[in-house]
Amino acid sequence: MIRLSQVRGQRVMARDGAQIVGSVRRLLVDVVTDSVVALQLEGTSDGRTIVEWSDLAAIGPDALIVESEDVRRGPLSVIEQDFVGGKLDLPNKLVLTDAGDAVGRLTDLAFDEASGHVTEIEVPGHVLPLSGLVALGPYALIVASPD
Amino acid sequence: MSRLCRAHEVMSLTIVTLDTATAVGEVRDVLFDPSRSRVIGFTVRGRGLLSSPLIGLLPVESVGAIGHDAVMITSATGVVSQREGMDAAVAQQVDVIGREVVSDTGARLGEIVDVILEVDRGESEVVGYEIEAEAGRFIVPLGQSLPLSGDALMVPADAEHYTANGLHGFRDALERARGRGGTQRGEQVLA
Repeated sequence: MIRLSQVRGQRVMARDGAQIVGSVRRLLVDVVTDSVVALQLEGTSDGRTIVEWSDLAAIGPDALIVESEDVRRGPLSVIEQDFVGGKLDLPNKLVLTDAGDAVGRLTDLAFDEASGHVTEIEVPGHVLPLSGLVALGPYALIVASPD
Repeated sequence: MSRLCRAHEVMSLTIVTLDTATAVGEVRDVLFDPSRSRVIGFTVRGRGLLSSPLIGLLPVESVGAIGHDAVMITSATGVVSQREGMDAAVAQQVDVIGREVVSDTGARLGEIVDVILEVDRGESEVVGYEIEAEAGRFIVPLGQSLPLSGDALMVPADAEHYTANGLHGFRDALERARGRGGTQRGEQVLA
């Protein structure tokens, strides 16, 4: 298990050339699979800032490793454009249930580092087991109401 | 599970889409059909002080849930312009707040200051009126539909025996009003 707070700011390095590709600016969560599916780099020389989570070859304590910096790409969809534009940024995002009740502002989330599957959401004073993601947008992260 | 709330608590709630988690506006007013005691929709204003005072109407059929903090709708297309419908319903609305309340024996009880809603996900029903009287505020439960006009709300003379003075205890008052068969003196509920 790994946390958003552990990944943000981490170096991303290429295994083939041993160079730093960039550092992690933000993570993209897919609400269909309830998973972290991509990260956005900062410190790159061009607009190819997205690395898919499945392209990570290793997740170490001091760096995330990709095989080559060629895995970087630009946004391919409206969601990815919103992602790189910061509209889907997770820290401090309002967490709402689909019943319209506010849970709090997101401080962190935990996910499986291999699959990216999100297991917990943290808001001030609470760690919430994830009952399912409904939507992520500019206003809120909407989660399924607990049964 | 349903919950009770005041209409004023719903007004100004942010309206959020369930497909893109976008805030599309705020509830300005609650529209209801007094003859059926049903909320039929909401008028929607833009968010923020400088936003448009009316950007559309939200029929209750498009509402997924009314929560403590937001009204959830399926998508932004749920908010329609007046030309697309509901304008007749808006025209028929009677401004309830401030309406005089008179008993069917001719006694003035006070003025309506709020409307009590029973909310269950996206559905909401008008179940009571909060009334400001000289002696203070109380809530009259709607055991049945009550006559409401541009002049007044008329309540049965024995309604006072089913009142509550706050939402706490109002559920019991409502159940008593719904189940009443006749006058039951001494059953006043004061929470």
